[in-house]
Order: sequence, then structure tokens, then C-alpha cells
Amino acid sequence: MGRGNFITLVIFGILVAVFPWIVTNPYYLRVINFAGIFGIICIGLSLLLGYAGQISIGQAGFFAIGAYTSGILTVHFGYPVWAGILVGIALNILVAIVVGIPTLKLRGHYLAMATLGIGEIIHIVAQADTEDFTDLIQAIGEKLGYNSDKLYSALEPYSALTGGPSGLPGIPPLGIGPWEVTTPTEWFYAIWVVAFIFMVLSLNLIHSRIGRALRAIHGNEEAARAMGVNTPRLKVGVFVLSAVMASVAGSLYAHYVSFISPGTFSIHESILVLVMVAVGGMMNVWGALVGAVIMSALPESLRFFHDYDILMYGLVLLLIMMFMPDGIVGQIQKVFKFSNSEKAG
Amino acid sequence: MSEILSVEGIFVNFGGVMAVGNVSASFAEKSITAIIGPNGAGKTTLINAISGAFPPTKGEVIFKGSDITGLPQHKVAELGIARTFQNLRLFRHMSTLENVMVARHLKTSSGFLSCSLKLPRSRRDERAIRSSAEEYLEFVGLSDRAGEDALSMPFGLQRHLEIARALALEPEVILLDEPAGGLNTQETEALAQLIHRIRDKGITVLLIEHDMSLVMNISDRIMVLNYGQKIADGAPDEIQRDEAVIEAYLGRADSDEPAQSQQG
Repeated sequence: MGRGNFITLVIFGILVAVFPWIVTNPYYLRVINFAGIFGIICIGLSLLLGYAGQISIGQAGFFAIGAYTSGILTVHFGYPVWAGILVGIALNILVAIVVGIPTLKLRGHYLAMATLGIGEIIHIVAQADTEDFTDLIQAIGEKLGYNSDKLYSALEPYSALTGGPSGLPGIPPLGIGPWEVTTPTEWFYAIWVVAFIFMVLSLNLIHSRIGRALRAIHGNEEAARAMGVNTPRLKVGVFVLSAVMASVAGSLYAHYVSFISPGTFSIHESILVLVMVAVGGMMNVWGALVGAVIMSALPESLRFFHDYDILMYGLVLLLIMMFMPDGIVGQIQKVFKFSNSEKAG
Repeated sequence: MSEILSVEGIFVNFGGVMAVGNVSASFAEKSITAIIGPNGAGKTTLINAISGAFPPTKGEVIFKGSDITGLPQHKVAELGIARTFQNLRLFRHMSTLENVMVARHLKTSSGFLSCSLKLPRSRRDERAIRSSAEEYLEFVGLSDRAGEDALSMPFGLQRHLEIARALALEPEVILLDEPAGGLNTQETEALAQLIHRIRDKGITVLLIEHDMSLVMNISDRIMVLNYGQKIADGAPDEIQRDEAVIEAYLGRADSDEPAQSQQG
């Protein structure tokens, strides 16, 4: 992965290890924990957008599928936490493949619109009263001549799966056996170790034949095809990968907050992660984490502007986009003349 | 010499416009064939039809005895037909070496999982990709530019890089689309030598070119297209004397009709 990345990774590892000793305030830890959850989504989005050059404004949808699968399976069906996470991942892989095959044929604005639509559909499904669905299925069943009572008792357990607009409470914390993650410090380690692992995997991927092929698609898609790169398959592959990361982030979120509601998974969140990646710098996967931390901490540090904090938030965003179009990490690289592409050595 | 590639009755239509009409030809193994013709004659369209970039409306492309018509481009590349582009299509934001390394994609096979876990297989792949990419850079004389951003190099060298990248696919046929376009005399000379060395590696060369001295100098055979149709096909000295070719390029000498009346 190159020397620069390795050193950065070591520094990042040390930072994760000592951070809870330096910052003990549970409120700040909570902010940085949410930053980590968003950071995980951003790593996936950075691979998709910054490296392969494919936009998605629907990452909140994958985030929601992960969160709701974990929530529903643990609350309603008594699944262990790890099983909920794995089923969430599997479900997200399936959805990303089914959605990705047709949509990734689109480019630019069309791909943006398609992914936005998918994210919104998932949001609407989470928002809907599942009772409406079970009522509908029951009505159809009765029309087809099935026994009404039997149908009712079969569908009853599914009538309040997602909790609709009022959300799904009582999700158990992360844990294996008797060991449970409860304090902010424990959560910090749980979330940031996952982020660290995804970071290592992503850096490995970027500096491999697959990562190079993804960058080639970004660099010139037609030439990539002519060089034997199976572009449709790789695009779907990286889309699935971004969905898997969003899914894990969603599961972590559900177990951390213990309550999920549709509001958390709206288009606002999809755009927020996009902004995080852009602010951090989309040409470098480190930018994903930097952007996630800054955009999570910024609203908090702007609190003393009281009612004007939103205004300041917008101003900071505007300034970054105007003066650092390559994002913060991109700007740092420019200053130090580092290159994110591997040089001859 | 046996034939390696042939096209049979190729038609390519764009809407109502016929870009290539009923072109048939076969190309001998380890030969250098130039495809020439005025602008808009359908030369690049024919190359696109062969390489799978834009499949023909009708007709067949036969490579080593099997029909490859309409196969996706990456499959055609995998089978052994590489190409370069008239308007350079190098990978942005990648170094010269990395540009060639992309073309070694097919020679390795580790997938998403193996690559992100950096399994021994993926490490092995990575070493093999790098060393062979370096060889191809050396073949075209770009070794000392390996770390440079590909698009920041002088134009002539970018053309060489595109050739190195195509060669890294280890093709049996290479399609060069105006490789001398934008090159000066010395660069064109160097290109001619490079093309000879490519053929000496046992690769069949098909090139589209406007530089006639280059074409006459290096080609074993010349095929002339005009308005999407093949109007001549033969050795360079035959083509130079061919009435139809002279007419297509210069117009008819003894006629008051303009050359355009040949259209359709």
C-alpha cells in the first residue's frame, strides 16, 4: 500500500488506541462515535465515487437496510446480534446487485437520480406502516379464497416489524455472549476498530489489480474496456462493497442508539455522507474519515453561534468547496507534494 | 502465411448513415496492413467493429477461426486483439507505469476478497503485474518516465505509452488508430521502427494512418476505404498506381465532374 499510507495507518491506529484516554467527556466521545459510523459509510462511498467515479445519492438506503435488519431480527425474532449484522450484509449485497446491474449502466446525472430514487424508496418503505402491507396481503389472500383467520394469525407477527413512522425501540446493545458494549469508551473502540479494519481492507484493495481497474474506469471507461477490464462487473462489485460498509455502519448505529426511526435514513443522510467525502477529499480514501470527523464535529463546535450555527456550517462548506476543490486531504497532499498514486518505487 | 483475422461483409449504420458498407478483408498473420482513406471513410468505424467498441450492424468478424462479432470489448481484448485510440485515451490521474499495469488486469485473477485481504496470491499478482509492466515501458523506451503522471508527458510519448499499454495485453493482433497523428518527422521515424519491432514479436499489425510516407514505408499491404467501401487492396506499389485510389484522394483529372459524385 506504499510507505505513506502505511505510516498514516500506524498513526491512525495509535490515535484510535489512545483517544479515549485523552478525551473522556462522554458527550465528545458520542460525537466522535457517530463520526466513526458515518466514516464507515464514507469509506465505501469514497471507493465508489472517488476511485471508480460512480456517484450514489442512495447510501442512506443501504444504511437503513443494515439498521432495520439488525433491529428487526434482534427485537422481534430474538436473533443474536452478530447474526443480525450478517443477515443485514447479505440482504444489502442482494439489493445492491439487483439495483446496481441496471443503474450502473447510467452515467453522471442519470446515475445520481437513479440512486437517489432507490434510497428514497427504501426510506418510504421504512416509514410505511407495515400493517398496511399485511392488510393488503390479507385482502388479496381472502380474495383468492384463503381462510381469513389463518391468514391473520400468519401475518400478525409481521404487522409491526419496522414500527413505521414511530420507529423501532428496544434494540439490544452490541455484544457476544455475556460481554456487552455499553459505555461510550467501549463503543468508541467497537466503532473505530471496525473503521480501522475497513480502512486497511480498502487500502489493500486500492493498491491491487482491482483498485487499479476501478481507477481506470474513472480515468477513461472506454479505454478500460479496451484493456480487458470487465467494467460492468467491477462497477457492480464496488457498489456492493459500498453497500456492505453502509450496512455494517447501519447495524452498529442501531445497536448503539438502541432506537431507530425513518428520519435517520432520509435523503438528508445520503447527501451528508456525500458532503463528508467531498470535504475530506474524494480522490483519497483517507478523506472519507477526515470529512466524516470534521462534518460531525463542526456543528458541535459552531454551537456558540446559537441560532446562526446552520449559517456558519453552510459558510464553512462553501469556503472549503471554493478554495479546496480537492478536499482537505487533497489540499494537504498538494502542499506536501505527496501523490496518492504509487510512484515508480 | 495463414490468416489470423478476417471481416466478412461488414456493415455499420449510424441511424440512416452507412459508415461502413459491405467491407470484406482478411489479414495475414504477422503482417503489417495499413487502412487508408480520406476523412470519414469509415476506417475508425471498421476498427471499432473489430474491437467490439461498436458492433457491426451486419457481417462477421472472424478471429482465429471463431466468430467474435458483437462480443463485449473486454472479451475481444481477452481473446487477443488490442487497440489504441486516435484521440488518446490514457487513464487520468495515473502514472505512466500504472497505465500499463491496468492492461495486465487480464493476466491476473485475484478478486475483491483476495485483494482487500492482501492474500499471498494477490501479492504475487502485484509483483508480476509491476515487473511485466516495466518491461513493456522499456520496450517503447519510457522506463525513465515510469513515475510521471501519464497525461503530463509530451504528446509523442503519450502515443508510445498507448502502444505499450496495448502490447501489455499480449495481443496477437494490434489495431493502431492513427499512431503518427500529431507526431513530428523524427517521432514518426521512431514509430516506424517501433511498429517493425512489434511485428517482429509475432504480432499482426493493422494501422489506420494518414502519413503516406510512413504507410508506404512499413506496410506489407494497403487497404483503401472511401465512403465506407473498400476501393482497393494490395501491395503499396500497386496502390500507388491504382486509378480509383488516385481519384479518391485527388479527384478525377480528366473530368469536369467533382469527385463527390462518387458518393452512394
